[in-house]
Amino acid sequence: MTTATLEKPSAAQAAQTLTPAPAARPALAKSSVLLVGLDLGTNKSCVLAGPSGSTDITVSKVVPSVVGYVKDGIVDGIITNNAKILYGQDALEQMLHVDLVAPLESGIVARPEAARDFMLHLRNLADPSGKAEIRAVVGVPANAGEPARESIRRAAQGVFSRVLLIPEPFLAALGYRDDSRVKQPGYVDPVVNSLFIDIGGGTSDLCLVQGYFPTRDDQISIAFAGDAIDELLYDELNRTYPNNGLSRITVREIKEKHAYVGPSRKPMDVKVVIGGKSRTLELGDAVGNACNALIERIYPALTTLIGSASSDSVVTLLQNVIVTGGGSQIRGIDTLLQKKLADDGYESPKVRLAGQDFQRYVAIGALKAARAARENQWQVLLS
Amino acid sequence: MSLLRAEGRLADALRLSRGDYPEAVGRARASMPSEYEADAMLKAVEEAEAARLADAEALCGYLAPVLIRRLGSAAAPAPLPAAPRRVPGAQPGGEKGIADFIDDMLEQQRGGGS
Repeated sequence: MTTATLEKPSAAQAAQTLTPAPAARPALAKSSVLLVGLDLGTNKSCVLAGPSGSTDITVSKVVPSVVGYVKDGIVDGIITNNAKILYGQDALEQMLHVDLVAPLESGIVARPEAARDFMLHLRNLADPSGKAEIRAVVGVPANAGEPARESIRRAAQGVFSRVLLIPEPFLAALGYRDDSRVKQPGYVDPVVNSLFIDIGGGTSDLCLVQGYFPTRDDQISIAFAGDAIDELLYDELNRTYPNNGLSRITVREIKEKHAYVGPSRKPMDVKVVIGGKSRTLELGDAVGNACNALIERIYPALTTLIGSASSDSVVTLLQNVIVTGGGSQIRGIDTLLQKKLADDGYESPKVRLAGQDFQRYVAIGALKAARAARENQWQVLLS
Repeated sequence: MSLLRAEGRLADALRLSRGDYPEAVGRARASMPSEYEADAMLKAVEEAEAARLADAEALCGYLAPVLIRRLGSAAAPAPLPAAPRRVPGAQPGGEKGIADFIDDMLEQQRGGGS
């Protein structure tokens, strides 16, 4: 278990936490409530937890979003404690002995039973004692409709006592914001004027964050992200090297190690093991073409959102375009987007990467939101 | 005010919050023997009303999906028009906290704006 601390809250936030919630109805003592920030991702999920009334983070974990149901007939002792269900990395490491199920597709619940089991696992990570009342802020894709939200609420029923569902790119902005510097001159607060590009496994979400809660018009969600790149690369590899036997998991690993956008970086020699023999494949164009397909989809959405921003805000906005999520690890994505904007005549654009905590910003923002939420803003989940 | 906002009557809610409501609060304060007692009385009223609202919201959160399922989509209310675009930094009442953003989000959802 790790312990960390959220950034020092701003004066405004501190004052807010001291102000009694307007709906101060009888509730459990604050000390028994555990707050959770949850980024429920298609490929990876992040859970952060900390007690109510504190800035401590008692749990911070990134977990592959996968559930493994142990197959029938597995000999005793093969699976630790003869467990029937494994989660995350444990499930992946035992893939020969389990049926792997991904609970989410394109950022929304695709398999309700597995989603519920996975949420129970995350709950157990957050509260190993199983005794705390848990309230969770859960990130949802931008523009997630009511059916998608309802499926998350159903999966969370009986797992968490109360939830709040908030769009992921807005949570990323909250998580990325350095609260200790908000009052400092020269600090550009991402919550005041920024454009977030959150590239996950299932969806790429773009969101204008301009000091008010983003409306539907401020957010664009594209069902093309890391998984779609994997599929393109997988197909291309099978065309170029038929019967290569590479699994989708291996193809994803190749992408995560070599992904880039922009001009071809050929030759790119990648060592793989096929049929037990080591081979070197030239994948420069295959990887580049698959990743550049992402740019072709998100760039029009980026310019659409810039075009919808008020003329008074757009110059500052262009200085604050931030790429986060797994897609921010694609080499050259910031410079290529910035160059395309400059080439199209946008005024001094600056595109930045969110940085090494890209897997945690949504969950950090979710935990900040959980700590700031008023009593009457939580949605009660009936068991 | 919350009901008016939920119905999309934002101008009426604003008029109430800036006009009738402060006047009523002023009258209530004037009727109390001391500022301290006035504060205590108003706080008690606000807490009672907030608790009623929270209970009502919790009940709605449970009943609404049931009603929608029973009545079918034909009976679902027509969505309200999307919220007007806003200019960054032009927030009435100054700096917003995270809870205010959440309020905005919930209001948008009630109005069909998300």
